[in-house]
Amino acid sequence: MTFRKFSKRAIITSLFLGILLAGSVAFAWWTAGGSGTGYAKAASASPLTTVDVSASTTNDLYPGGDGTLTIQIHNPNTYQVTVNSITPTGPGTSGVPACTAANTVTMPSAITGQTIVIPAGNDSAVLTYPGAVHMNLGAGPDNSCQGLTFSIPVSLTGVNS
Amino acid sequence: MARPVRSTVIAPVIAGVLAVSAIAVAGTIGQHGSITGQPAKRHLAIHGHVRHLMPGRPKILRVHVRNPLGASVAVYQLRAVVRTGRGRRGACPAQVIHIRTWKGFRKVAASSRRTFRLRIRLRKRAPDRCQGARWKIHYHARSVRL
Repeated sequence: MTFRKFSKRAIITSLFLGILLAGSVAFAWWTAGGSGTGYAKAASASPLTTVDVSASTTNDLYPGGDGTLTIQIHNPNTYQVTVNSITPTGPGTSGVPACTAANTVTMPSAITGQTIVIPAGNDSAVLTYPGAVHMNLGAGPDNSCQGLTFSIPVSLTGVNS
Repeated sequence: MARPVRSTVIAPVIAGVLAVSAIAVAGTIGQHGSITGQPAKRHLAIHGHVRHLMPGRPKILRVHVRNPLGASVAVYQLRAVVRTGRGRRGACPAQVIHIRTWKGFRKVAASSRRTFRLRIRLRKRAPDRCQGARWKIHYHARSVRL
């Protein structure tokens, strides 16, 4: 009985492959992988609210003239917010129909370029903007507006900071 | 005249096959802990989540790695891959979430659990539509048996 003769190269190759195979299996056994899933969820921002947005709190508003806007903002979020702009969304209201019909109080332009920092869950300081509101002359002067305070609807734009 | 090569070729191959078989059997028994007929638990189980991500604010993502194997392992890498998120305002790209890969060498004992802390951040310039969005995360761990 005779055996086939192998070349030296074949012997070395088969030995190498055998060791490689054994090594690969041993490595696969030695290492342990793992996988799984989870999730990340972003927070939702709560809208800023105003504690107070009013005009003529110091009785400086008169027909045809400008007055001071007073505003205090509340940040209900769990993070600090910086308000950049205050934009009017309609005319002011006083709660007295006769005054509203006769004279309109408006905020002619938005207040921009601000950096009003409001800590999480807190109110801002009471901010004043002289000359930011205007009382139109309307059809005619109406004494029912005297001494009233007007609420100005605004929208606030800010970013978390 | 070349000498017969049965002993120099076939014998190492047989030895190799036997060694591999022995390793495989040892590995199977080691993963069971005991031969109970239960399917072998070959992988670490990983889960973890985080909420209330805010743009630009890093948070810690606690990832729990459970080792169901019968032997202790040492985790040397824990990687997280984020999928596209979805929220009430639509889809939000995965690129706005950054999770740093954990690298080190931490032992997780057999049949026990350890918590890894990964740093996660929602990019500061994430679009507004990402508010309230939820991203699925796939974890991949690499470890060696001890």
